[in-house]
Amino acid sequence: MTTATAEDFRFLQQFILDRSAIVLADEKQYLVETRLLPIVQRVGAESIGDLVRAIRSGDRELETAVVDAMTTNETSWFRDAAPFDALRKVILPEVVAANVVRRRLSIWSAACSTGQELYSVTMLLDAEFSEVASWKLDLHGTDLSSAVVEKARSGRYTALEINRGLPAPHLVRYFRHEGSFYVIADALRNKVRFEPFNLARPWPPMQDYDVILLRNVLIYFDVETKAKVLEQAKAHLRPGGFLLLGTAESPRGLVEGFQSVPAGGTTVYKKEG
Amino acid sequence: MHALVVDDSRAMRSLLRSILGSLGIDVAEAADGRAAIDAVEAGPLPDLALVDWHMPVMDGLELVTELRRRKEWRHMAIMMVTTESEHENMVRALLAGANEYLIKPFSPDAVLEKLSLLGLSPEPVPVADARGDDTLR
Amino acid sequence: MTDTDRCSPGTAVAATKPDGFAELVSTATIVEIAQGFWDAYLPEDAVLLPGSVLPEIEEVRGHIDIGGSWSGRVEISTSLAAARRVAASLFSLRPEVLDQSEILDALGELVNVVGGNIKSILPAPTSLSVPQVADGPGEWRFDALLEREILLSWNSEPVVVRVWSTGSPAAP
Repeated sequence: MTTATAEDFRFLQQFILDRSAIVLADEKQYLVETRLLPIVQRVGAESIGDLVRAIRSGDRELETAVVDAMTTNETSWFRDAAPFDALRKVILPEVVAANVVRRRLSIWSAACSTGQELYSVTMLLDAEFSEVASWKLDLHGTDLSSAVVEKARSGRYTALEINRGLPAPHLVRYFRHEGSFYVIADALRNKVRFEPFNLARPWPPMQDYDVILLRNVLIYFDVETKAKVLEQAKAHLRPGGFLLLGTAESPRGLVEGFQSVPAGGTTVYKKEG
Repeated sequence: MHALVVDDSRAMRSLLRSILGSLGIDVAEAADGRAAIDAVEAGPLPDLALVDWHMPVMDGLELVTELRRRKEWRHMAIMMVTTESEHENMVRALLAGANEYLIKPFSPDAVLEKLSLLGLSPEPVPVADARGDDTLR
Repeated sequence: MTDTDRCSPGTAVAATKPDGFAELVSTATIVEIAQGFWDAYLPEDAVLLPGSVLPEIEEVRGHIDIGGSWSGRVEISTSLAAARRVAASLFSLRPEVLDQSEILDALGELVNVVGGNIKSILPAPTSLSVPQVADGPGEWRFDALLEREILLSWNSEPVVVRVWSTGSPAAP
């Protein structure tokens, strides 16, 4: 099990780009080894070159495993804190007030990974916005990979995952311990829906949202794809709806029609008009 | 910032010392609850105590209860760092006055995130690391 | 306690009592817990594979006892080389500078994590002892049922997790 050859790495760069529109930078070659050597071991292969050969000959299961390994991250609950402060202090009070007659709230976590972001939003709503408990809530999470989406649906997390940024009072209030896993309470799990979705392909007809979280995924797309994704996100925001990006991400220079709003120590983007 | 690590395992004390130390935090150690009380009494009040549960002499739950008895120690943050993850016991620890809870095994990154939750931000320590962050995203 | 209670590699001895250990803590769960320890503290080299044969010599072993509504013992044995590498990670020291007490202490923490997580799954009330560690063969000092014998392999080093139950579970 040696390091990946330059040729293997180039193949994987293109392969990941084709499958996910994610650009794997040259200096991230070490990540290929870190992420793929466990797969090499588990399938009893000898090298990353073996994995590449298997993918080239059409091993679909292995393709999926490799894409997942290269594009999944250990994510935290309430990641970066500031966006959740923004939701708590600015965004949710506004959109809840705007919807008080409709009694409906739609939130989309558009790079949901294994679900922590959307479940964190759900916990925030349950704990601090009890007035919406009886509303129609569309709490949707999507991600590229079906395996990752499946895990998000299960709401099951390891000790390592549950430790990441989850306040202890939420841990005891919203999770039960099952075997070696911590499972989110059914009351919250039943409020959310997870589906696979490829942001980089043309979007199907879909509903509009009050809030779209599109955090830490744009930075890996090329400029053209970034702009397309942001345009479509804007098109699917309800009037006065909010877009949340990752720290240091911005629609500026790519898409017009957003008003920058300082909130919770970060900047959020409100759809104009 | 000053922390007290309470665990009967030298390996665990060493691990937490190196994680906290890399954040620029001064670390004192105690191998059981009794020694922890002595350490808090003897020195400046730690900003944070990291407390294992199952220890000889005085276990973590008793220690938390004891620490919270003293009014002048009330603003010291306490985080359990333990395998104990049975629901009732976690509740018991929080009711006894622990502010946070880290379940073993935990990744080092989790410690920093818990510090943020506790409102404790160590001064960033410059680290020479050519690789930068270990994530694709 | 006889050798016929030992199971073949990778499989478990099913407890005969209803609500016994087998129902409560599966082999998969125990492996997940052990894997969690490696993912946390040795992430760059964390893969635990199923082992195929019991090691001829189990160089270091540690155990931790659980009491209360379920009573028994969780033991982990491994090679000195593997224990040394685990200790190197926990102590942030190069493997060659570690002394025996540090290696055994690290093994004790491994046993604490695996045993403690198992304890937390079992129905309350339960208690957890401090871990005990030793180099060299263990002793079968009590009459117990071997509930699990799980063979794992970490970079070709053996890691064996055994769980015994003693006494009967408390009536609900």
